[in-house]
Amino acid sequence: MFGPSRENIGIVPRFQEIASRAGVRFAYFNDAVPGRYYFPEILGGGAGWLDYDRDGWLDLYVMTGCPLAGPQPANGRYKNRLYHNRDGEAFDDVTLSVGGQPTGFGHGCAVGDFNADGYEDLYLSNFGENGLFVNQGDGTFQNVTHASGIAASFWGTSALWLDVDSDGDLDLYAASYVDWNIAMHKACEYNGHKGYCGPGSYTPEADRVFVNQGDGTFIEAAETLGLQAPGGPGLGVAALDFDDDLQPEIYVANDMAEKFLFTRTADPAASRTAGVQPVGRWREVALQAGCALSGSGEAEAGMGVTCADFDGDGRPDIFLTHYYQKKNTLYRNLGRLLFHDDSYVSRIAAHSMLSLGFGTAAIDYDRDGAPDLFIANGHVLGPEQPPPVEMQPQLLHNDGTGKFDDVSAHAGRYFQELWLGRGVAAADFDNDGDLDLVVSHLNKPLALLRNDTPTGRHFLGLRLTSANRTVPVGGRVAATVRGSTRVQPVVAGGSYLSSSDRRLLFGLGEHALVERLKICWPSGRVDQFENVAADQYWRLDEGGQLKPDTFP
Amino acid sequence: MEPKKPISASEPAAADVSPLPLTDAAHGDDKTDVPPPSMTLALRGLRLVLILGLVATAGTGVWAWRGKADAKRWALRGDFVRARSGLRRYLWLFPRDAEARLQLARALATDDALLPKQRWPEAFALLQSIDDRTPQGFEARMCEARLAFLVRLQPTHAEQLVRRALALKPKSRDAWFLLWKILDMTGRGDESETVFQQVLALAAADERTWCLREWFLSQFAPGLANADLDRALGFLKPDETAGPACEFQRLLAFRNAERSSPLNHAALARWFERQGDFEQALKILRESSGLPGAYANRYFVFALVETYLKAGQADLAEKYFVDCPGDRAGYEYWRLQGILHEEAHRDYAQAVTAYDRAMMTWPGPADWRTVLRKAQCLRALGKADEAEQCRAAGEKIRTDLFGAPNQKALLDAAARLTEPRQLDVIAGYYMSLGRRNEAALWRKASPLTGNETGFVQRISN
Repeated sequence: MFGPSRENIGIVPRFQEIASRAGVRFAYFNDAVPGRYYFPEILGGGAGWLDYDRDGWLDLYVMTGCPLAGPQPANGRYKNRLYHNRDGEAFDDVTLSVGGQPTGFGHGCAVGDFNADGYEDLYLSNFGENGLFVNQGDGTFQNVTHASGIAASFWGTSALWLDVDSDGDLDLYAASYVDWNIAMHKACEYNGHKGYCGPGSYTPEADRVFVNQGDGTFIEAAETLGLQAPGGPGLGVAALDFDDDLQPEIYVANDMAEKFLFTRTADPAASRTAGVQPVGRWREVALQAGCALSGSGEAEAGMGVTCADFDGDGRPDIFLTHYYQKKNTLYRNLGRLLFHDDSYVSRIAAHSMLSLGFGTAAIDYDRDGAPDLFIANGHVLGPEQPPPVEMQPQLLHNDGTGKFDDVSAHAGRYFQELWLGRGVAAADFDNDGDLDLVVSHLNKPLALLRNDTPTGRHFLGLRLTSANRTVPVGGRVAATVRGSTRVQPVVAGGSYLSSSDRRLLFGLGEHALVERLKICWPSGRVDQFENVAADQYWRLDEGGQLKPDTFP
Repeated sequence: MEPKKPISASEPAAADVSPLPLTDAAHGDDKTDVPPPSMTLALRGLRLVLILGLVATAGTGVWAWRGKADAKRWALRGDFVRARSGLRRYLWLFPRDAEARLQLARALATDDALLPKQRWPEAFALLQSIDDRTPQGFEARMCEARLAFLVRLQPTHAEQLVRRALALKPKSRDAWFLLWKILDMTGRGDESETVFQQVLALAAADERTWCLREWFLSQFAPGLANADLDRALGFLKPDETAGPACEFQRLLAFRNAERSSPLNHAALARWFERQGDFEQALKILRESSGLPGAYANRYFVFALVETYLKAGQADLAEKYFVDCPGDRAGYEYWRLQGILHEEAHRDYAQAVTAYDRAMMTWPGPADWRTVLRKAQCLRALGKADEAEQCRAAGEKIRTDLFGAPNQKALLDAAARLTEPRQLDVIAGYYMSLGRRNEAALWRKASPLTGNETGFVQRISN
């Protein structure tokens, strides 16, 4: 639909689905029982990329569900899986060897080094009790859910790690969906057919914020910090700086409700609660900012979210996936924390009306510097509904000005098949300078899409670590080539239930040299480097030197 | 030579006969001038024939006239066969009689026992043969319009006929009402306010509440407003609820029955556009753009503009908008102008101005989407307070109109207008929209009696 012909497409995208071949044989278990329609069955699961053993290759953690009713199998059959990345070529299932295995109906995961020991840890969002697993650094994980004080039973969805109280360590923002349990279950009917009810049938649950105490423990303080707003069945969440003050905002995609945009305002009257620093209090401003509702004032669905500078004006924009016969939404950032719904003029609306989107990732598949979009699609009402139920995923090419063309038809066999797509996590798992994708589905195996697009173009990769040994969320990097500058924010979270590669990747087109690389840290520090060579990853620790990020 | 007839007692004697005026020959001649017997007989025979002919003619005329005179009575009794028979014999003698043609057309149209091919071609031919300038011209155009709309499913042709009828009789409530329904059923409910005003002005006192209800439903629940007619035309099953599927069937049928009308293609395209299938909508519009009059049809052009905008092709939208036919005025014009300013040019100030103009004309005041677009533009201009006020106003309209509890209450009220307080419910809704005139009309209206004629019956008569 509205797609260019192969002759007009420029560089033809090529994504090879290699999951099984690479040793990743996994399918999310959603415990769907015909005719039952328990709500959690339909959400699906996500995936997280993390280099748990610090060998330079991103490993893959994938979520799964379990029986929603009745006793759990004693053999722990339904486990999330960890796949060790063997030099970017293949993966080994190391789930059993890493220990600390959670059980629970899994949805989302968030990767972050909350104890700043250099090893990335895992937070798991479940329907039911959540989970926190600390990376021991020796190839194993320890379940510290209860010991950390983070244990809570709620319907968790997406989550992200972010320093919300500016004390230098990572706290956790955990989105929550609705108040549902088996006792209150009901099936709904659409056009005479039974199906899953939607979020409007239940009461939204408040999101949680677990504040890191620095000693391995957390306290929940969403309300205290101002990070709570009513009426939000949260599904996607992303944190980044939208208004150029190097402080991150938090954007929450709520399902069929107003979205949230939390920003911090210096507030002398901020309350002082034990364990919570009296920094500027967060406040929710999405309505005033113009990114709570669509341009015509409708509360849209809002499953997945991804943020990038789509129109090349230096300010990150917001892309949201939505419901069938409703448009996905692109909010263009106007600056000053103002957004405008540009879904129609960007052609995003035209590409999305006949699909239902979930996980999404902004990836520059052709290295032209403009972030493109991948969207996993699939309906939610259940198998008794008339088609379409399973849907094709989409790859949308950005023409450089924030207008998109659907190039899915040319992107590979995976894009021609039908799926119930859910979580998407992007990562350069083979370290070849372009982002690959993992996609979790309902009822079908997970897909690992390796980006094999032959661009002949250049890239620059960057791994950043702030002085407190965290990813500098809120910061931004500007890469200038031949007078043209592309800006990327440092982002936490994004997509749906998933955690992507934290490195930054710039597509440089035909240019093999970055004339100027400028890094703005959340601390206010600015680092600038000239004539940085392309086609490799660089590493920069705040206050240090730019070094090649080599892989052992 | 036949013998003379003997003089009978009834014949006067020759002496009793009044003398005929003497001819010149009689004066100068002793002989009397009497036609020869053969000529007398011929004359008598001719006279007889003439008399018989006159009698026969008169008799035939009477017989034929009786046929026309009795036709109405037979038709009322449902004996359409006799009615038609009488009218046909009348028309055999008086083929130019417009009234008889009209009656015969009606007798064909109303007889459900006939097959379509037995009724419609002749009925249409009869009606078409009646000139506008005859006393029957208006009725003929109205009959023709109804048949074109309800039988042939040709709304464009029907609309042309209704407008001809209105030119002949501008104060016909039925004609305005038919026009209103044609607009509604072809997706042009936005254009029907002035038509509704005419119907209301011409309605009898006991019809006004019914009119007001029809207007309310046509604007806020068009599926319900059109349901009776959709059922009569077979687009909606008796137990089905009106919705997009029914609307699609109707618009598709109109398009297929009247392919030469750009308007029908545009209406179908707009259905696809509303369903989010912009590609299909554009396909239909492009394929029909070569029809005569396409680009002179404002509805067609606006459909093209809106679909191109939704498809993200603002440059093409603007190209067609710049040359749109008709006045640079009206709700739809200003609304699209606003969207072009907003999306294609990012000129939010101009967009606000255009939206304000759109909201001055119905259905602008109820168009919460445009109000919220205006709010978005105000926000982009940095006018936060004004944007918030505008957003709140738009949200209020949306909630009052589409919020489930309110919508249910309003539709319930519309269904129970035999109860006086339900009229106040709807009056209150119009007041909340700032529509004082409508609110006042509702407040003055009387409750329905429950005996009002259904729409389908009105439009079919």
